[in-house]
Amino acid sequence: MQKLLKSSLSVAAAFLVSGLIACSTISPGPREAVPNHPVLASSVEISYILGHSKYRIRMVEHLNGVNAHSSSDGKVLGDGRVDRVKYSEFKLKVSEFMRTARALKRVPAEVEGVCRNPFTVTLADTALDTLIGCRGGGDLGIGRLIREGEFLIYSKK
Amino acid sequence: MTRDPTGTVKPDLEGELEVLRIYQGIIREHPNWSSQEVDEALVRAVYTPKRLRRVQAVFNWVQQALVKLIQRESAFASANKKLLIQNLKQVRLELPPPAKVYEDEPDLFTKNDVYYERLSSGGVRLRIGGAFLFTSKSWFNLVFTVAHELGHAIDPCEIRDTGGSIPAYLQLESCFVQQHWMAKVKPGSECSANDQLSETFADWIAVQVTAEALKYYATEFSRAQIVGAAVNSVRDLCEQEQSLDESDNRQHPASIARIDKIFGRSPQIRKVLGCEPASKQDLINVDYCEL
Repeated sequence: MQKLLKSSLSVAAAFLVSGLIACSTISPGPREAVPNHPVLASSVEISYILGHSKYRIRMVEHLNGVNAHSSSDGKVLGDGRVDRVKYSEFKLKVSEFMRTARALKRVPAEVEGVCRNPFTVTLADTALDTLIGCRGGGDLGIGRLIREGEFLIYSKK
Repeated sequence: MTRDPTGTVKPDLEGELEVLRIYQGIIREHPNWSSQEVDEALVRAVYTPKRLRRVQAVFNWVQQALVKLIQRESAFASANKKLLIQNLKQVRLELPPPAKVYEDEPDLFTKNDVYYERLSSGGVRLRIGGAFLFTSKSWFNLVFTVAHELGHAIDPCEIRDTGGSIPAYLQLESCFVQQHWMAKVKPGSECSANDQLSETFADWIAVQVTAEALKYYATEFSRAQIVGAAVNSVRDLCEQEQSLDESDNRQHPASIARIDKIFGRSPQIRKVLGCEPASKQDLINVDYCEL
């Protein structure tokens, strides 16, 4: 399996809901409800393809708490409130993952595009950061990061 | 309602929800456990000895069926047969427990993905997502799925990528395009991101193996049971048509092509199902790719 690593970093008005929606790379399917809260503190979204399905983990921090949900092909697998402290720890792991992934060497140009299991990680905190990559034998660690996210969702309050 | 005596095939989502319920149950029962501790308990609950034995048995059966298929195929030269069989036998079926077997992809425990992978070290393996063990209870679905993945060990692109060459594959590739099983790609773009050759070949060879499996049980099953088994072997391909967008069809042929053309028009499948041709003209008109 080959790796494909691209990254982009843009600074935006992260606290504006409209900015986050515009920068999100994946739109929720018709079966997923997107909560409409007035103030957004931060959010984490991991979208990925595995096998023949599209998955998404999304955690959104508001003043009132942190809402999280996971879905497969637009159908909700799990959702609810998660612990704010654990969410903050997870955000750090996401940030570290993105930093580490960018530090890895780029794959040869000729194998770019041969990616069966792409992923996108979006972290909206003090800035908006998006990373697009490819799951593969090079072990970027996306599987472990996703697992940490799933653990948090299913350990919900 | 399937009449496949060996088991059912559920929608992917059901299998995943079933495993996630187990996962959530473990977390609730042990709220102080770490993610790793929970995963160890999860794999013991999902990859039980009974399920592992079943999967291993299917893997062994499919591997042997592919070896026999290659050995009896006169289109392959002896050296080619040796290479193909060697490739097949090198594939390792990699299954938990312990959880660390999938430590690089622990999210696989709750997914339906089944895949063949060649590592940068040169090793080759086949992995099975935990949810798949709940989704697919039909032996015939297991056979088709494992045969498809194991087929990648000898598919034209894998052979090319590992420096080999199988002249008999050239005729097969042309046929795949002529029969509209896959789109033609520009010369020089074979086995690229948009080429469906690997997946078409894997489907084609999985059909051969599944036909052998159906034939093996034809004398024991009733006609309805054989039909149920045949339907189950490719049932999840129907669901894939609903869940995929265009981007995935870059590598896989459309589900309708996979089910209708590659599977449904196979003379071996049709024979097992009792679809005898009405006339000699029908025989001529059934175009199917063979070596």
